[in-house]
Amino acid sequence: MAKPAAYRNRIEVLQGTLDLLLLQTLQWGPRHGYGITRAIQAGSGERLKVDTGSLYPALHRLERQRFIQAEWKTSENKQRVRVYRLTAKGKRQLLAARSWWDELTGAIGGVLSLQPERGEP
Amino acid sequence: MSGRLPFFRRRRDEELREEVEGHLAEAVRERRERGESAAEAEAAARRELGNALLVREVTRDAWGWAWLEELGQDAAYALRVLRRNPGFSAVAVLTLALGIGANVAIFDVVHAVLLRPLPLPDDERLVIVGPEWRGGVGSVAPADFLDLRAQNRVFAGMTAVCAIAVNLREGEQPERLQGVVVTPSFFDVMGVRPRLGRGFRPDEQGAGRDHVVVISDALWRARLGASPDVLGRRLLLNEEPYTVVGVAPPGFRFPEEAELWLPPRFAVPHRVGEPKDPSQNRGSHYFDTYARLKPGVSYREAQADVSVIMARIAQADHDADARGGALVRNLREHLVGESRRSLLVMLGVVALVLLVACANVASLLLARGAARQRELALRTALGASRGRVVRLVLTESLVLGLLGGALGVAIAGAGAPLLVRLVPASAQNLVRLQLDPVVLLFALAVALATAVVFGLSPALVAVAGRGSAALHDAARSSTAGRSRRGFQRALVTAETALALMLLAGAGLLVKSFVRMRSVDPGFRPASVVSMSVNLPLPAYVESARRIAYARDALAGIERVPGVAAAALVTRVPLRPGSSSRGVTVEGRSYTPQQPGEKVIPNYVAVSPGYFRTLGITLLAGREFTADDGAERPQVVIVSAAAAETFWPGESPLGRRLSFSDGIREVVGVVADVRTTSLAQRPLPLLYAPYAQDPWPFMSFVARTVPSPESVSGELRRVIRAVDKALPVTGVRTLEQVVTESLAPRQFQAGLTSAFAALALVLAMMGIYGVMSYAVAQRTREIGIRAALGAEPGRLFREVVSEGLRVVGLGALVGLAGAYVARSALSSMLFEVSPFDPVTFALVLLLLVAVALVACLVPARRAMRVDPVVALRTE
Repeated sequence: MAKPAAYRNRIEVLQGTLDLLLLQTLQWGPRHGYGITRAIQAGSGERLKVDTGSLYPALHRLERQRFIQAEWKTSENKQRVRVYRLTAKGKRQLLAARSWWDELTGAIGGVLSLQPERGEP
Repeated sequence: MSGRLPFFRRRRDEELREEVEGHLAEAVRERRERGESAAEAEAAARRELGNALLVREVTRDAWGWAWLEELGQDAAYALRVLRRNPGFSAVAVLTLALGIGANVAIFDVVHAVLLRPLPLPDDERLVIVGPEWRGGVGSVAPADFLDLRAQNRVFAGMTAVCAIAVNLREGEQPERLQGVVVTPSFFDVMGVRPRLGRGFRPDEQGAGRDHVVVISDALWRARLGASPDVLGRRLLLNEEPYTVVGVAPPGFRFPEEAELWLPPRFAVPHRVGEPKDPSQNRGSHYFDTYARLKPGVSYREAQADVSVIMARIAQADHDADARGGALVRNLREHLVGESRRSLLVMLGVVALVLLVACANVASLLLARGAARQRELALRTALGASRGRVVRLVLTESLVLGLLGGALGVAIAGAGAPLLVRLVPASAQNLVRLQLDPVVLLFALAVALATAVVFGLSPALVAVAGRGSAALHDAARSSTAGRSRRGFQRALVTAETALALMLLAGAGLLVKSFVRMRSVDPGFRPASVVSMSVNLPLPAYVESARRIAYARDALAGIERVPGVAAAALVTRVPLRPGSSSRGVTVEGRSYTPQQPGEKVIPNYVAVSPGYFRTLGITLLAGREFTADDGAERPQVVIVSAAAAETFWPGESPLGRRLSFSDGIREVVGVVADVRTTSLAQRPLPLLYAPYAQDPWPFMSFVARTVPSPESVSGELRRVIRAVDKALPVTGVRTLEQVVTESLAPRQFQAGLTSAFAALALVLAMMGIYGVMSYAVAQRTREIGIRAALGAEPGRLFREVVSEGLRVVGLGALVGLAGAYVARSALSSMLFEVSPFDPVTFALVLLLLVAVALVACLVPARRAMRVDPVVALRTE
């Protein structure tokens, strides 16, 4: 599907990796939804974009799974915001997800770096 | 939006909204800190956020149970919408409730009668056995029963039963109860265990051992105070002491409306000349024979076995009465089979009513949908998927359907007991009406199916007009509006067609009923009262005592002022039941009409004044006189049908008829009387003088000068005076008897008419609705035409003729439907063709008149459209 030029160098977050990114982002401390978006954008050099329509369902799902916890706080802006924090269960899940990611990228990297072999004709 | 949520989720949704707002606010703040202008920041942040509604919706999905959530939302929303339109909602729910209620009520009866097993265990194997008799299973003579029981190889158990009246005396006031004589195995064969005590032992029959009785639960409660130590108690039955050995389980009153079950001895009618030992009696067929099939035996095998035995009996016993082929039928089928057809027709009738109700509610929804078109278009524009909108509209239908269903079940619960009258009286106490899970499930299924049927077209129309076009011109004469009107018109056409079919059906049934009521019964029922007495056997075992009793009672009756004529008869015409005797025509081998089937004529014993009292015409010979006594030559009077059957084209006078107890000479011929039903052609009927055949039961009939009601109390008193121990029961004028014999038909015709009237009212509402809507939609056009000088009369005529076109088309479709459905009804009609032109003409006229009335108001509205107002409102 053709995309507007402005979005071209932004990468839509892969399904399945979003959970990992969210947990990882929260490891650095509690954040609200917009804060998470910004952190991921900034951390990826503005290349990763998290769609709001994916962010909140994912956050609420992780909350239901008890990987993260939410509480209402007031921002510097005097705005009431819902702040998410990683739970102990979430930390374990993050470790598991990270090792899964390492394995996956390692495996994919291995396949991609494969040189064609020449066999007997 | 949050208002649509169930309360427990409302808070959470509120929080979600706040969370998303917070997100936006934070984004705006950050952008402004980077130096963007307020407007820029706002716009960019919103763009980034995307559709906030959508974000919230997909987030809620992550909460789980999303579909249920939405259903709940839609339902709550639907309820609010319905509350906002109380008039519409009330009409729709009530319409559906009537339609669904009628269906549930009829289904309740159908379920209880045709589907649910009898309250007898394993009733598939319970059968009735007997000779083929007037299309059903006839009774058997005691000796034949004993042979069948001894020789069959197919039944696990057999029992013979015979209903009799029993006089119970407790204190001064005697009471007549329905008793049933049963062979001892009765309760075992039925598979019923008495709630107290026991059934009969095999040796509890015959002289000296037969004074035991099992009583019904109802009698135990009513007369014996439900006392637990009732066993062993003595009851005075027919002036003899009987020991209570058992109490039947609650609700068990089978057969008939039995209050008492007694061992056989009473069963012998003790007619003159009959063998004293019932086991030798092959002449009187008074036992109904019930049996339980052995496991693995089919009906066909049983029937073959029984036929062989019956043929053997007929061969061995040359004097025996005519016996046709043998039949083995399922007991339930025997009891309720005849009501199957009328019940199924009724089910069809109410299904049509429900369809009319559906069409009507659909039409209402469509009309209201005009107002909602904008709202739905707005929802679509805001991103609601089309499926979601259809779901929303369908949910409203579901809510309506379920509300209607719930109210309908209440209506059915109240109405179903009245419908038991569709079942033959003899089987009514076997019908247990209850709104059991099956019936409730049926109600739910009907409600849901109804909702889909009436909800689908509005839902489809709702999404047909789409996008911005609908936003602009919703509720005006847009394409969507036109398609809606087309739909509505189709619905009204269907409604009219269904209403026509129902009206025609009702009209035909009513006409049949009127036809039947005007049938000449062969006697004059006006001013005649009847009442019956049962002579208990031990006291009245001697013929002379019965004859003396009858003479004394009649003498007393004749002395009562106001009595013009009085007589007695063993069975009043058109009362339930029948009595018949086999007969051989002397000196002539009577040729059966069908192989194996002889005519068994109806038979009654009467006192001399009978024909005069009932106004039955004497065609030839003489009536009975006081001279036709027990010791005089045996005589008989035959009906015209009997004369025609036995001596076609010849005079029967002086001919001789041979009965099992002797030969009688024909002394008179009387006009035919309809004895079983006004619908049935008169069967051969034989009359004997009571003095020559004194049966132990009788009905007194008296023609009175003032109204029978004023004399009947005195008549009762003088009859009681002859023997204080005998209750006098069944006091009825013969006009009442005639009316009662028509009651099932009257009920059926009345019920169908009520349903047809309901359908007509609904159709009228439908026509009114569609015409009003058409006029409202065309207000502008009509306004312009009025401004251009169109005559109001012309506008009026236009609306009316449009309405009539719809009705006319519906009537044509209805006629076609009536043609297709004609066979369903024809068997229930009496001397009326299923296409009776008068009925159809009247129905059409009625329909057109109703349609005119329904069009009148909208047409007048069209005539009075003010051009200025009409144009300004646009």
